[in-house]
Amino acid sequence: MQKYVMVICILLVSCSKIIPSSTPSVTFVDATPFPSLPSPIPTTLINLSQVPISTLSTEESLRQVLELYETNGNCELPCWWGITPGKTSWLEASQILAPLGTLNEDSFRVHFPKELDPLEVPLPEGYILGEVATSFFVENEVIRAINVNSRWVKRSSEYSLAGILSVWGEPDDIWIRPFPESITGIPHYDLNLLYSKKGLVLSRGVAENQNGLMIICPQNVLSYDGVPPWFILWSEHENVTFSGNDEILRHFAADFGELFVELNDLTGITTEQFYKTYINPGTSECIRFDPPAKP
Amino acid sequence: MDPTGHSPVCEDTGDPSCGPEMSVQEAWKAAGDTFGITFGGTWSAKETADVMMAVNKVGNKFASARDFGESSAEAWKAIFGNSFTFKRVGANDCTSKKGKAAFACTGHNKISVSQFYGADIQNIRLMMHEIGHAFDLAVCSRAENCTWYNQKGGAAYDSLGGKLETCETTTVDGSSCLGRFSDGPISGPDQHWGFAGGWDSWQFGAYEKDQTWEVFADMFVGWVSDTWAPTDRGTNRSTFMNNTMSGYLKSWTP
Repeated sequence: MQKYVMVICILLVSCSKIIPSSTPSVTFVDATPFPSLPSPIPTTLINLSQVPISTLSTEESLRQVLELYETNGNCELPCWWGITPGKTSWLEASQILAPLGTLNEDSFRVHFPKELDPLEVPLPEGYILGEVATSFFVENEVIRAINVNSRWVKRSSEYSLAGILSVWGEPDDIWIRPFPESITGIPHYDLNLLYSKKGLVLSRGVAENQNGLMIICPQNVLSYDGVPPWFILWSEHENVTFSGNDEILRHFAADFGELFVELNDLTGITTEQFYKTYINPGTSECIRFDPPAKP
Repeated sequence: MDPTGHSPVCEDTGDPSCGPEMSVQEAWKAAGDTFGITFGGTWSAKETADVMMAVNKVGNKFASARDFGESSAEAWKAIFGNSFTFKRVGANDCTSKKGKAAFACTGHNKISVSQFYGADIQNIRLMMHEIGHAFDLAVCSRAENCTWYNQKGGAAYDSLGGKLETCETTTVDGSSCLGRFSDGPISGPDQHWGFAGGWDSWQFGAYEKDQTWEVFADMFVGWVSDTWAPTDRGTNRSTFMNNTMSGYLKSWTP
């Protein structure tokens, strides 16, 4: 296929490509639109039934949801809908979210009008168009991290790989988990972009095996199941790595790190080369590499 | 593959990591002596070690759940008896009537493997999944009106048959479901529908993904490993298996 013909050939001059000359700057603002509250340090989660939470009409609830989707609560990533990891308390987050949807111990769900979901149908079975499903890592009554799909940050956000890279900047680390053989008959892979002091971008895609090589096209973020990348967002005061300090990552995924290989070790491509290639929204370049050796 | 043809499988436990290396033939003999397991076909040392690692993990979990003070091998034989076969078969020997080739297929006390993965951990879990099917059939064999083609009375049918709800994400109560759609979202509160990972990592029942026997076999992997998605669905699956399995296992008295 044509899209697979162009591969990243770092070592071949004939494959050199034009790199975008500038990258939009990225600003992570600690903007919390709430008055400061005394820092509670209890050891257990607050019982939601004991928290005074306003009751909204359906219309008002939807209006507030749509406003948050338009403005992201007037804050920037890693803040989501006015909730800033490392800063916003669970009580404050509860007061924002509980009137808008279903808030459980550590997750929040709300349904948008389907026409506002940026995804296209048909989605695979089990995926609900218009559903925002988010989870939280709450520690000492403070939101330590947020897990949300990239399409639900802000209406104007771009969930393509190029769009994400233009907002997040160059990753600190990139890791790939290749599945060259699959019981589904379709090779696939997971791709993680790590920003140690901001968050993690999790994506997966369908791959192709060709003459013993595995070919992936990371810009095709919808190729696996039609759902864009997920974010795990944390504070700049964290320093999360794959090989340690990964408490946040393990909170959200039991198999985190398993079978992952660092991009450069697997493909010979650096994070800088990856970034400069895929920040270009029009790129059709793919990555070709030897899958890990079979025992 | 180890070019020496040696595999570090322990004679006493079958755990590949716990003792001196053995040749494939020595490993097979140890597997037969301790677990009553026979290998058929051509196996590499690595593949043999992966199988025995899975067998030993399952045996240990059986022993722990039965709580009769048994060893891994004793608990294994209490469930499966003194004869169990792993057979290496050709690429198309586990092909369904619909023409879809599977990595492995399982009958009564017999697992056939047509393809392995590149990583040991995937192979070990794949074998656990197949042993989960074998357990299902072992339950079936003790029940009336239960055959290979009609698993009524098998563990999957008994425990999940009337309760396997398809995951429905539109309601709050949907988080308690034990069904699944595909291998689930990569992240978020519905990640992997409660399993610890997706296809080829923690789920292997893709061929009939929504059928009780495949869901049960994947939950068997999670139960043996005591590993689930850190979500409400993961907790629900864990609780369900812990409650269900101990009842089955203790009914096989020593």
